[in-house]
Amino acid sequence: MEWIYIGLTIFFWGLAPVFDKIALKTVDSSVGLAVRMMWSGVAMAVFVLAAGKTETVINFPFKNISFLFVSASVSLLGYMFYFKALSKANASKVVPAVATFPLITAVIAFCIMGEPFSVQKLSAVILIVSGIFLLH
Amino acid sequence: MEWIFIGCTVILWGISPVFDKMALKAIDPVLAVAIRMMTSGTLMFAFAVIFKKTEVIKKLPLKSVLIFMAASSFSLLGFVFYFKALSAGFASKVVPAAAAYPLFTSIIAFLFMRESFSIKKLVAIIFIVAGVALIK
Repeated sequence: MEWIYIGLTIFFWGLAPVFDKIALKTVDSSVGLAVRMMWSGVAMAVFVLAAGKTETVINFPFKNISFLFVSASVSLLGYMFYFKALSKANASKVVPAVATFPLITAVIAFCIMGEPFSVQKLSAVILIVSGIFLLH
Repeated sequence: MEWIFIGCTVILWGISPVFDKMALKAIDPVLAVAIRMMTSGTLMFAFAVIFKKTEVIKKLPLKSVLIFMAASSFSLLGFVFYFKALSAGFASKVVPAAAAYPLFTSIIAFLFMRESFSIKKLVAIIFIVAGVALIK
C-alpha cells in the first residue's frame, strides 16, 4: 500500500516545480515565494480548523514548537535561494541539484549528533558529487 | 550564478530537518507540517508587508497566482501522501523512494516545457537519486 502513496508523493512533488517554473517567467521570485507560502499557510490553517485539531496544536510543548519555527525559518531562507535559482536556470538542472540537501543533513548528523559514518554513506557522497559535476 | 543559489538552498534545507527531527519527538508529524506551513505563511506575509510587496502581489496576474497556488497545492498533497506512506511502511524504504521526484520533474520539463534533455543529464539524475537513496 505504501508504494501507492510513494508514487503519489513523487507525482505531486515532481509536478510542483514545473508550475513554479512557469509562473516565475513573469513574477519576481520573492513575490512568487510569498504567494506560494501564504497559500500553504492558509490551506494548513483550514485543515487544522476542519480537523478540529486547534486545541492539540495550542497545547504542544513550547520547546518543540520553537524547533519547528526555526526549521520553518531556515527552510524558508532555502526556498528564497531555490526560487532565485529556478528563475535563472532550467528546472531539470536546479531540482535534481537541490535534491542533494540530505547530504548536508547526514554531515550534521555525523558531526554534531554522533551518527555513524559508513562505506555506504561514502559511496553516496561520491555518487551525489559526480551527479552535480555532470549537471554543470 | 545559479550554483551559488543552489548551494545556499542545499545548506539551508540540509540544516532544517535536524530541527524537524528534534521537534518530532513530541509532535504528530502531520500537525508538525501544519505548524511549519502556517509559520512559513505568516513569515512570508510579514516579509510582503515589511518590504512593501503587498501592492505587487495585488497587481499580479490572476494566472500567475493560480499557477503558484497549484504548485503549492501539489506540494502539500505530496506531503500528505508522504506522511501516509511513512505511517504505512518503513522510513528507510519510503524516504529514499520519495527522493526520486526530481526525475519526474525532469521528464515533465522535457516533455511539456521543451527544456533540453541529454544522456549526460539523465546519468547525473540517476547518480544523484542513487546517492540520495544510499545516504538515507
